[in-house]
Amino acid sequence: MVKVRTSIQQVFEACSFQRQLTILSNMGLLCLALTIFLVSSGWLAWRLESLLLTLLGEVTGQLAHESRLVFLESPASARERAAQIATFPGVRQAALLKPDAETWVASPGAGRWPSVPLSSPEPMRAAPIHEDRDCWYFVVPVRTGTDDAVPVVTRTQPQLLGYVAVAWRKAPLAQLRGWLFVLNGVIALALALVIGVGLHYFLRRLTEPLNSLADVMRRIQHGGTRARADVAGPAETREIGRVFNALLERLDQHQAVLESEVLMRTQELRAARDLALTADRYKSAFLAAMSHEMRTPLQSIIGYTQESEKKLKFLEGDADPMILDTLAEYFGIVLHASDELLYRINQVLELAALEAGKRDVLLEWIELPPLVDEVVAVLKLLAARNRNRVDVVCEGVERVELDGDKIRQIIRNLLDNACKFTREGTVLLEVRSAADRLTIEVTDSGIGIPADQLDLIFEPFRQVDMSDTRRYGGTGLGLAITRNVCHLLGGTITVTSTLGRGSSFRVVIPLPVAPRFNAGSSAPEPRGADAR
Amino acid sequence: MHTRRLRREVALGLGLSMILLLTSAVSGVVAGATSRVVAVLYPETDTPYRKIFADILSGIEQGLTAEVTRSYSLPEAPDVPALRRWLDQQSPAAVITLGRVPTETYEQLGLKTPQVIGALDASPQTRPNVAGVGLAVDPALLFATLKQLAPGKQRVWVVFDPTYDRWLMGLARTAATALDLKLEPLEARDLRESIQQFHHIFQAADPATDVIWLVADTGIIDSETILPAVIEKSWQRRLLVFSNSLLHVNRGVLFALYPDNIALGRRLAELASRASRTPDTPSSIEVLRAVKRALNLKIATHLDLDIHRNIERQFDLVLPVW
Repeated sequence: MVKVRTSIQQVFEACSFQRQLTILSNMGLLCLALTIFLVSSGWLAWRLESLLLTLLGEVTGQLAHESRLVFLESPASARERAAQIATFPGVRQAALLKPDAETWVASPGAGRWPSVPLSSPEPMRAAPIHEDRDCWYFVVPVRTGTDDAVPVVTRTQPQLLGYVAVAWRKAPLAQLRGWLFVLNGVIALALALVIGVGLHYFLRRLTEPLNSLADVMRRIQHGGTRARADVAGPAETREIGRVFNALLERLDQHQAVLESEVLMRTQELRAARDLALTADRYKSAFLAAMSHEMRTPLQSIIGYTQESEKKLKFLEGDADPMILDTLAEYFGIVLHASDELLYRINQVLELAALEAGKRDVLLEWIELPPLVDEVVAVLKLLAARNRNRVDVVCEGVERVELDGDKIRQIIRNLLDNACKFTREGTVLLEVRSAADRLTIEVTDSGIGIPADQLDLIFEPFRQVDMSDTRRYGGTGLGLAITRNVCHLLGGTITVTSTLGRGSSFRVVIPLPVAPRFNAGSSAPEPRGADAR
Repeated sequence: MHTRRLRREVALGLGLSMILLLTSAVSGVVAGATSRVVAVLYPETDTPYRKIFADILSGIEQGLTAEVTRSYSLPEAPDVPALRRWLDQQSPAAVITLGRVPTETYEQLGLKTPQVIGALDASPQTRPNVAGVGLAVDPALLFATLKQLAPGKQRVWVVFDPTYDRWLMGLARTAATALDLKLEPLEARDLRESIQQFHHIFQAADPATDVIWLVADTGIIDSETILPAVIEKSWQRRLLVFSNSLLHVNRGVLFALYPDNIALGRRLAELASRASRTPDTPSSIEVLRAVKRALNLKIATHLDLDIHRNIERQFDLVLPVW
């Protein structure tokens, strides 16, 4: 029931406003017509029956009145009279009853008559004393002695002569009632139809402006900005049209203002973008120039220092050994400082290249354990400097297809970072490879990172301690480069840390990695190669 | 001279006035000592009976010159004790009762005051030793009128109730014999017997010589059953019918003799006056002789009766009224 109601409601709500109005008005009209039809037909039928019964009572009374003489005559006359009454239109049978209500004579075919209430007061004409499916039975007493009312007469005594009983057929009334119902129904339906058609026409005229308004709205929705509603129809609809048009005008004005502002802003943004691109180009050019301009003399310094250090050996035995030792120490410092400087310049260049998307992913089948050992071996010196112990765990698939330089770069940067901020602690490197991913996790027992700094450490040139008197060196580019490399490989890097207790960096690279090439890009030079 | 003459005239006027006053006083005393009260009891009725009783009362007052008339109206359900008190107060010498209710009510009281009955279908058979005038018209007057209008008729058929009208048949037989008519009285005690008797009459009667007399007895000739049947059948058989009811003339009898109410009142007054003077005189209900006559010319035409204008003028009412 609820489902049916819901579905009807849904169907109804899916209809247009005009159709809803038409449905509702037609339903109301039908209900009204039906009610009027039922009430009028019912009332008319009841009234008709009532009038007919009164009429039949009167006619029966008249028949009885006219039959008084027959009660004084022979049974043959009475029988003839009964037969004569039975021929009266609408009479099925008639009988004359004795004063004791026994049947005296009856018309041919008359059945048993209903018993007459002898004590009932005269006249018994208003209503039938009995009725069945086919007939009403009227029984009217026949008396003499109405002259009793004359004030000069004493001899007349009221005398009951008998009763006239008439069975009136119901069929004519039923037929008349049927016709009445049909006629009423036809009239009600015809009226409902005429009014419905008129109502439909009126509702259509009433809702046409709304439909037009909806059509305009649809056109506007699909880009017809110049469309306007027709101000027509009833007062409310005209008002809606006027307001809608006014809104559209205001909207157009706002849009014009917005468009001009957007145009202005776009031009500004375009200029800013152009400026930024120019600046970026300048930056790239500057960095390229710097790399070239700085690395070239630095290479010369490193080369000549190395050569000077070699020549110094030829002076052994000729020169003061103390001076030679001092010079050797000085050459060593110069070489170390130059190496550091070259490393940092390379880092800056690497970051610039990554951000500019100028790095390729060159896939090759690599053996993970040797690769890990190689990187760890390089960083043993740094770990030993801070008296850290480095533990390595390498598990899973040993041979994977990856960019080996990028993996080295990730592990080196993370281990470098961990060894730098850990003193006399442990650094744990865990490399776990599976068919679908490679996980690299570096956990240290270092100084840790404050919670509010966790999101900042991957930004370039950012370190937790940015003060002028910071304890830890470095450019602050290692983690930024690592994150960019991870992204380049399609992976992610996350960090968890507790201040004072250490940090844990976790890199997850889904496998297999898709190769990526950038035309004109050049692979960064390995630090070791350049530095040494 | 003038003064003396004036004094003489004044003295003469005063003397005559004194004589007149004394005479009237003496006659008033004499009249007051000898006048008797006659009470008239009449019914409260509506039109047309109100006019009938008013006329009878008028006739009574005209007739009672030596008596004082006191009238009292009674409704259909009379207050009998109040009537008794009124009669005690009036102490009438005679009581005239008009109509059914006053007559029956007065009879219930059982008073010794002489009663005179009027305007009632009273019969000496049922109310012996009571003075009064019934509704039965004197057969002699009826037959005389019959002979005047249709001299060739020889036999008069009549249906009567022997309980009430045997005395009337005696009078009728005498009157018929006197006018060379033969009376054929048939007895009937109710409507059923009455219709049978009328059937017999219609079978036996010869329209050329026979006539039907309808007596004033609604017990055997009611206006709704027997009368229409008799009238219809008579019309068909061209039988002459006469009656003593004005209404019957209108419904189709040739003529009727009906009460002249003022004359009836005078006759009742006469009877009351006599009863008040000599209460012990034997008395009886008498036939109605104070009558008027009505004629229906349409019926006369139907019966091929040639009624002369002079005869027509002798009737008090001629129908139809053109």
